[in-house]
Amino acid sequence: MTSTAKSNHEFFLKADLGQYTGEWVAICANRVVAHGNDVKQVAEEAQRLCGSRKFLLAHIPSNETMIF
Amino acid sequence: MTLSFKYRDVPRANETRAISPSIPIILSNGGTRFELIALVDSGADVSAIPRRTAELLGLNLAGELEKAFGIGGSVPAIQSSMTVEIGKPHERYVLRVPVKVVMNDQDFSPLLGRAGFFDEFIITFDSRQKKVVLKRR
Repeated sequence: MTSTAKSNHEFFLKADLGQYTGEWVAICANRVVAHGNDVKQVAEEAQRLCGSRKFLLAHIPSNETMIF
Repeated sequence: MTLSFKYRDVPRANETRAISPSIPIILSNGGTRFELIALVDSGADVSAIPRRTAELLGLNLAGELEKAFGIGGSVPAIQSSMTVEIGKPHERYVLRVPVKVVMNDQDFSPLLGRAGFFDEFIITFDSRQKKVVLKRR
């Protein structure tokens, strides 16, 4: 994977994404470029905004979510 | 050669926190590919993704609807398969893995379960160092 992809992951690890709980986010160039409940819409918006740059999709679980 | 990924520190209810072995992967199907964060789930027999993620990838959802069981009960699911790319610039692997597509409206991070994935790596969950390490068999 590219260094761009790596930096998207590093941003994901460090960022406070609490405002997006329950949503999908798209991360590109060290910021959240799109978010929402529909992963397809979020991906399409990220493709439009990021152009040729890679973006990372992540689902942000609610604080109440405990995964067994 | 090994792949090492830091855990993500995540907030939970009542101002507690947990750490999560969430790693970046590329899911692809034909010419469609997206990078997503997936949860490495040693408790899952098989990988799982939500219906809308499967539709994003254009996975074949023509299979028979069946029940998949978890701690919270059963959910409707269809058996399919997807391609998982995992790696870093120095090391990268491409695997075809079976996946249960959960056909209700639940949304969740893709879960990387044992079938077809854990078979391919020796996986170490290092909670103290807050990292998950994958070594190719």
